[in-house]
Amino acid sequence: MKVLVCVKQTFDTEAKIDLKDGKISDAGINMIINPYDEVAVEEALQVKEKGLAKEVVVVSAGSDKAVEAIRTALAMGADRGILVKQDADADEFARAKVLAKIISDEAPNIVLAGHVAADDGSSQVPTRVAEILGWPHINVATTLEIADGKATCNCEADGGNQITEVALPAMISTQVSLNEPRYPSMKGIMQAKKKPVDTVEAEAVESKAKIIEFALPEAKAAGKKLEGEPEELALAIADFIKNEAKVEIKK
Amino acid sequence: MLFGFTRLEVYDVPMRVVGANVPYEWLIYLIMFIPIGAFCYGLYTKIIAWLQANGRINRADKLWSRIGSLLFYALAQAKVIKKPLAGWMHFFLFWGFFILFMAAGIDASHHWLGWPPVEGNIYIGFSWVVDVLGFLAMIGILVLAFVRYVQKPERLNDSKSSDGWIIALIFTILFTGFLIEGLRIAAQIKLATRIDLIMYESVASPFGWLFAKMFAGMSLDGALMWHRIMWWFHMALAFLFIGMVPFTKLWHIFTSMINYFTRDLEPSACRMVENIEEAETFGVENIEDFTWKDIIDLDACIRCGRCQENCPAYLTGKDLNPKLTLIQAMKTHWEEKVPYLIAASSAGHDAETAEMAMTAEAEAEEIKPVMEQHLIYDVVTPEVVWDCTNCRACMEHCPMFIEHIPKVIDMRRNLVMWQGDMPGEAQMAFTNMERNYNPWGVGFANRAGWLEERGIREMVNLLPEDGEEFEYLLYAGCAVAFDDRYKRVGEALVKVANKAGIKFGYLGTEEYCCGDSARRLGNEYLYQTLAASNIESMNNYGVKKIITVCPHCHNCVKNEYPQMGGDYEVYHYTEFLAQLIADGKIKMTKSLGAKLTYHDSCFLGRHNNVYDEPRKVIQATGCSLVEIEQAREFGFCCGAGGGRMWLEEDAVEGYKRINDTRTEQLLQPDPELVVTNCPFCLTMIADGVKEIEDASAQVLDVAELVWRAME
Repeated sequence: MKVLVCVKQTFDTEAKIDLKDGKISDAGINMIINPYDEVAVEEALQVKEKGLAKEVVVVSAGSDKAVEAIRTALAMGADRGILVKQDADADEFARAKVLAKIISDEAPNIVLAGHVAADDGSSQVPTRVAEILGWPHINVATTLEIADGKATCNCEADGGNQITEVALPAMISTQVSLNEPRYPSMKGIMQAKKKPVDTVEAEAVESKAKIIEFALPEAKAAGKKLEGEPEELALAIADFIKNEAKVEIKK
Repeated sequence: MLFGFTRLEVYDVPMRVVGANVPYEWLIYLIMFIPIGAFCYGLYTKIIAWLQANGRINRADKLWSRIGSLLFYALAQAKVIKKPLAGWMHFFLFWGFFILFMAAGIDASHHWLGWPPVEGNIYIGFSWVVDVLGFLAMIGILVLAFVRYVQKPERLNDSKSSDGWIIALIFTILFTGFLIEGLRIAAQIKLATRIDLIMYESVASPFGWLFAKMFAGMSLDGALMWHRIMWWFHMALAFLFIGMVPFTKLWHIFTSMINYFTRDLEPSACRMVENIEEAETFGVENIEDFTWKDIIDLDACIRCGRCQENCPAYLTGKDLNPKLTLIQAMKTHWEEKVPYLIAASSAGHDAETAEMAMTAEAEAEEIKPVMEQHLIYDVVTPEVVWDCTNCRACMEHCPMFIEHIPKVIDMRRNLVMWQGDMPGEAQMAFTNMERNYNPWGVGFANRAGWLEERGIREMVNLLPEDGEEFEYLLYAGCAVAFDDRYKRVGEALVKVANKAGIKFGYLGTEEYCCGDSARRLGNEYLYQTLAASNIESMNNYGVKKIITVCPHCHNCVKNEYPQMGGDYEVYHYTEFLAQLIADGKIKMTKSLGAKLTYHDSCFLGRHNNVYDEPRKVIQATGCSLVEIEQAREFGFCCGAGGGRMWLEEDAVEGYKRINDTRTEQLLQPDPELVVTNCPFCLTMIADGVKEIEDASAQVLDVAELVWRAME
């Protein structure tokens, strides 16, 4: 069995985002492997370690720099990588198109990916890829079991938990509670240097969405400190909830 | 002479004839080769064993310092006597045995070299020294037996039967020595025509004279006969002693000397891994991967337990016991494994030995468990490896200069960089240091933000922006930049310096984590990456003098950066403030008058021997410092050293956590303030105080105290 993992390179979650000339400034930003995808890589490695898979392939669509995210996954223990060179402005549709192409070439038995990227938070690519391939898809999986050509997952559903079983090949997007990703050892990092990473040019796909403008969220207003007797405070807080925060009260 | 013997006489001048009254005395010089042979054989097997260690280390530099160290710590027993009762008793025992052994050597030299006998006043003086020291040695061994079997301190919690019979053997050798002397003098008294002809012996051998008085009622023949019997008995035991040295705990007599000579003479630092990019393995996975020095350390451990009784992990019930679960566990494993290592290493030499190795391999079939035992997982255990806070109490108090911390770090290096096996919290701290250059994981772009936040931006020369000339670089560290509580300490220090007319240079976002936690948690690669970045930044700005805030940064920048070419003059801010106070540059405006206790952080105290400067600074603020029992060299760790700041610590049943234990010690004199000099200690102790319901003491840093007195 072969497992393929889609990874995205994103900003560090603690990065200081500044705009310069209407675009996000690179200064003060470190790039990391999307933490949600890290969980997908870990799960793929565990599948391999259980003896269920022979190979773990890591694919990323992005700029040359995205190869660092692939190297991180290789250092964790993945076997080889493929970088699909694609424009940074490509939208979810374009990304899904090129990833689906690679996946159909590679023909893995299962594809894992984080359910969302830490930067844009759009949460679309895995679902789109499954749709393009015509594969079954389990989203936001918190467990994964593979047996008899089937994958079974627990996944988060509104207000509850859903157990889904699909026939392989399938696309499964992972939630962070699935596992604790490992820290790449020096042994892993050294071995990763020798592992193959293929670079392919993405087929030309026109994005359907266009970015018009980047804007920073409005600065948070300073907090308010209320002082006084409990009775007065309770009234003041209730008044605040009703009139200033304008919380809708369902009856 | 072959069958006869020299008669015992009363001589014309004060003297003693070696072997007088003992038939076949010359045989001793043949028999002597049996214990010497056993000793040499034992020594040979030990050296062959030591040669199986693969790790490399250079301890042949600074020859004169090493010779000085050997003489000081062996002859003056300078470390041993730090534990007063047992230490001084050992001092007596050492000197008694040393002098008696020398005296026996001089006696033998008469036989071999034909030296003239020692006579007259020289004899009296010589004999007196030997007699008195021999008696003190006997007192010493008796008191040591008393300590082990009556006083029973907790540190000696692993007494073995061999401890007992070695004490008995030493006592018997010394005691029979006095019996021989007493019997000889008793016989001489009877032989003397006038008592005053032998009276010199009461001066030359004061204790022998007392023993002689015991035998006053014995006949001359009886005394002479018992003298012969005791003489042979004494010699047999002495030879047994010599022959046993390499095979028993007596071996410490030699390993101690090796350790005093080969000890680490450098300031406290982790061992450097050179060319880490090209390394093929990391840390120590198998016991033979240690250096010969580490292996001799195992041989040198005499199980005195001084490490154990000062270890914060052991004292709070953890698995780590530096004596038993670290050093002795590895020693046992080493002794079991080394015969197979020797058999395996001789295999490659030639066809003949290869055949022998085949046999050894077949034998190895049976003992597979020993060869398959994993040093870290089966022998020491990862729990023990992670329990250590690197507080250095074990190394400080070890009379043998055993290097515990480097062994722990070598095993952590293997776990982290090779096995990829570490606590999840360590992994988190590493990722944070990698991505944001601080263990808290706060965005690095905001590293200089605390200056604005605390309103002191104008008081600091932020080098990437201001780029003014500066004398002192403030290496503020991650805690000052990112820990909300500790930002106030950074602020206090900057304000104090500002009032003293000093504007620090500061690297801001170009300052990275010093790497101490990464290194001591075993991530040498990450440490070297961070250290290299810092050294590059510091060199870029032409840094010469550095003031550090956190003692972990201090130890790292001062003692470890030189390994990577970063040579600076580094002062901890408490040293700096003490100097400013001494120079009259800091003027206190009020006397605080608070009663306080002071916590010696391990990395400023034991690792760097800075004990007095912080105390001087505290006293200058007009506070009264109450010294607690566990202060200075005996300071008890807060629990956060060695990267443990980032790991969870669960209290073991029946014990408190390390920080709670330390907090209780600090609160014992009921102080108004508890003062520290380290961000980790401050966090740990402040947490400890919060745990105690009615505790009202405030936990402050030295810098804050000074600013309070200046404001």
